[in-house]
Amino acid sequence: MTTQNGISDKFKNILLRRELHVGIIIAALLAFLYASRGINIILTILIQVTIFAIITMSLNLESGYTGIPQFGRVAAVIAGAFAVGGIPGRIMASFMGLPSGREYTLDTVNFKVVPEINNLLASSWLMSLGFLIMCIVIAGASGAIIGWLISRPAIRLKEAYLGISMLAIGDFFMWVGHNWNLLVGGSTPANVPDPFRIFGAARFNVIVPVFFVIAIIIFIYLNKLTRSPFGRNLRMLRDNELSANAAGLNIVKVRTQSLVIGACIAAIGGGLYVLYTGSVAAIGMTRLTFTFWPWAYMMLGGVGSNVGVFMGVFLLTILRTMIIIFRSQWFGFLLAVGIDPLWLEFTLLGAVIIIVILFLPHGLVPEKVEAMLPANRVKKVMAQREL
Amino acid sequence: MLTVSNLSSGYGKLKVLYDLSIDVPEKELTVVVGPNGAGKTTLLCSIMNIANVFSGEILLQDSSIKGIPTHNLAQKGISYVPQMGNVFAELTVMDNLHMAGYMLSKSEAKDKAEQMTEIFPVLKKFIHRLAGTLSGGERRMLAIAMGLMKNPKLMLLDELSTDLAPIIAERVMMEVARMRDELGITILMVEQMAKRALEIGDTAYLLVSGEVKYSGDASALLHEPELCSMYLGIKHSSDKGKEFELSVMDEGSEDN
Repeated sequence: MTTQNGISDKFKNILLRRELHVGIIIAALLAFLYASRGINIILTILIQVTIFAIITMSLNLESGYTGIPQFGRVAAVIAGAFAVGGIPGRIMASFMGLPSGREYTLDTVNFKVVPEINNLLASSWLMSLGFLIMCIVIAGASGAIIGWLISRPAIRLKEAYLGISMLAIGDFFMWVGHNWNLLVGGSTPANVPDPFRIFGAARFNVIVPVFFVIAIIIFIYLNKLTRSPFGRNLRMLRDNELSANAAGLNIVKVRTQSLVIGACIAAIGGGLYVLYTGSVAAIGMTRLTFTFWPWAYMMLGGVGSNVGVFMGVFLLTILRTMIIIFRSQWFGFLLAVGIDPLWLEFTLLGAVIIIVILFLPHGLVPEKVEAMLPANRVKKVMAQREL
Repeated sequence: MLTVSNLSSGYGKLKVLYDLSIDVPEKELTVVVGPNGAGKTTLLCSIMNIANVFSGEILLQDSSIKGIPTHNLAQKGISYVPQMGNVFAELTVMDNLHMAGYMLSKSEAKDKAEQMTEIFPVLKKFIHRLAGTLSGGERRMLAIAMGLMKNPKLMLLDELSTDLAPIIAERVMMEVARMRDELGITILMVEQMAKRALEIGDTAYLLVSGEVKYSGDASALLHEPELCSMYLGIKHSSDKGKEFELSVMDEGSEDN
């Protein structure tokens, strides 16, 4: 009898978990979208989810775990996007004897060079894979470099001042990219060679699992990282800087490490984003898309919880997509009272932030107390406690 | 152990301490008392290189520690327990102890943490709870234990009795005295519970407006009725002869 009780208790616990509830809602919404719009909309959502999950998890490392007010997430995303937009294509072009210098990003040259690279990539899957890996490495490296550079002036600032500086730095990068043709074509978006060209029409179906695997790898890495002693250092810093310093922790170093790792991951997200869209429009890398939406995802999911962040990105991306698809159909009546449904997407952003702050301050899946000690030692300590 | 000579320090351009000299002898409990805003905490912050030091010299065992970054001072064996927020509320008690032993090796930290739970049995009971869920007194015990984790040569304690019930504050004070007597640790303690601190202390400094007004034997300061009533809110009652009582006078009112 007791074992049966034990099993039913366990089952009850699983039923009560927030993750499960959110998961059911997500599955239901996906099923509804699939029934009404077909598979393509699901694939689009999944790609968005993987890219933004990567970016938001990096934000969660810096803001959720370390307590840095990272309002300049877009800067690192841009670093990755520009690097993938400007560097791997040039490398390929120079190998193939095509114009690879200053003129590579000129729109009159770019639209001839990139298709030739694409043709070469499409001829061999080994080359495509190599190109994809090269893109990820270049994105990560440039993100880490930019992250380190940003951390230099920012590291001595605190709280609101740090947040404002980050915000400014993010916008600065966007405008540099928009006005400096050499990087990614300035106001005429540069095309990015496509490592998925080899799959032809099935390109979309392949991108989803590939990006998902990358996101899962990053998820596992961050989960391990935040449970390690380094993760404990980050929480210690978030909790109390002075005490952390007095305990012998070099807070400048730890904060720099957090910023560099976070920027590296966010840049990979940015790189994947331009590989997916196939071109880099600097003016499209706005703080709204790559700073404020990730913040909303993180706040909804649960600050300091990687599982929560994943769920938050999933749920909110679906809601966003639904609003974009159905706004005129469902909310057309709002026009009569002078509200254009066009703006409902942005209204959603504001509404989510306000609702989360008021009713769900810890998010859908709150941060858990995580034991840093090995499981058997935890058991030993717990046994001692019961004695 | 620690010698501070002709120290002038403060925050930004604001000067708080003026030409201050104190000496902390080895294995003794040195107490710094004084009214609010006297610069007691600033003194500890200057030693830890958190405040700005303008001039003067700070020597730890005859070598200068002026200008050394805070985290390196911790490695040199100075353990600082801040007044507020001295535990990590979102970590468990065990993690707090391990974190305080940041510079020790893994096995050393483990041994030391177990030793701490023996010295402070109250921590053993709550070893797996979040530090934020402990009561004020238990938190202060944890803060002291964290300070002891790294085998400090010198401990700087900043107003351990802040917002504790008097009976709990008394218990914390006894722990401090025990640390000196049983573990032989050199302690520099800043305290606003002046009477009790002076009773357990060896040497005392009375700090007023960034200057030393009295230095010498701790219990002897209790026999200076003028200083006691003016700066420490301890009134000398003539009827009871040599006994003193603590009055609830506003400490800061005379000092401006």
